[in-house]
Amino acid sequence: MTIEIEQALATLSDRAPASILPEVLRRVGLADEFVRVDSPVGAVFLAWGERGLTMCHLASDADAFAAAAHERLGRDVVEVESLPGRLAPAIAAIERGEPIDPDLVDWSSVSPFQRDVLRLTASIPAGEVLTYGQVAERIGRPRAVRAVGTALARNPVPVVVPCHRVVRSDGTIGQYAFGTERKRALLTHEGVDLEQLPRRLAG
Amino acid sequence: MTDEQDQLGVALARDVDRAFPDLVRTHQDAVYATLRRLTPDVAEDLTQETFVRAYRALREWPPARRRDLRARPWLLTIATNLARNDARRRTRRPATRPLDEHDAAVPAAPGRTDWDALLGTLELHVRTAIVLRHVVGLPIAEIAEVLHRPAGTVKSDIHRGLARLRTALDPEEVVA
Repeated sequence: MTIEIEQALATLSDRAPASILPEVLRRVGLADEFVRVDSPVGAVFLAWGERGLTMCHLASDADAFAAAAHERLGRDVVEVESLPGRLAPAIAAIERGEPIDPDLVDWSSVSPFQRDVLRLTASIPAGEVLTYGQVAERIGRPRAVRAVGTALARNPVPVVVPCHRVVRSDGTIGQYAFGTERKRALLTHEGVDLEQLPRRLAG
Repeated sequence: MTDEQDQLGVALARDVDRAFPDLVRTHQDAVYATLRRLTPDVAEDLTQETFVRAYRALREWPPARRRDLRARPWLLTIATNLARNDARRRTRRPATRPLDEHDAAVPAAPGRTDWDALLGTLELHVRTAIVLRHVVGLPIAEIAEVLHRPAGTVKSDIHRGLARLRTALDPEEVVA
């Protein structure tokens, strides 16, 4: 009987639920939080930390996003029900293309030049576009046209900061983090006439 | 001290934020298994709370103290203190918590032992010692460290507690 009761007790050793680690990391500020948001080009996942929005990404599901976020941010991310009120404008930016205050974004993953490009990009309203060259001019670096392209490719929060509103000077739309087709779809959704774009930019 | 503990200590001394997830991964099962048998309905909450408090403490400590940390007994000390505070709080305000789904799930299937009810009959420090020894598998010396009690006292608590469990499980045992 002595052995039996001790053996029975040894089987009562429950393993910690999988939710413990991410919840603890979230509570001490070592993990970002994220929500799923429906955009005009499908579901995107939006993450943020103490210093603001850290990542917006297309992913098939929350696990795929968590893996991508770990790769890019070097941190764990935890899915939550909703984002804090101060970040709510990011939802309006994703769902309806409304302008976003660039101070809501955590820019620590990009260079100062890239941040300048992306902050300017945040001010382009839906339905409008700028060329890479125009962005370069407006931040006072008119010769840095290629670097503008690189900066837009480094945008941590596509759709929220509308890098899709920057196109090539010949009126073709150029590359996009989520693929050219989605750039085309977003611009069309926002009322940009892509057929007319070359003539409009030439004029 | 095992190599694993040693590596974790070195990593914690170097960079708390980087090493902390590994501290949780390494010890969460022991902390949860303990709290699951001491405070069944809030075990998950208190496990989280244990590690949140641990993190805040580690952030304040100098590197040398983090390097020499004996993580498991330290974490289990935090956990068992939280369990004790929870038990005190309930004694002061008994039966204020409404029945929830978890309570509904607790009744044991016929023919199976309801260990939560059975362990609940023991005084908390006796139950804690038994859980640490026989559920989590800690050596007596480490339990003494966790509970701040002499090893001899821990041993006799465990002995006495097991005898009580045995009697409760099989009343004829006493007579036999």
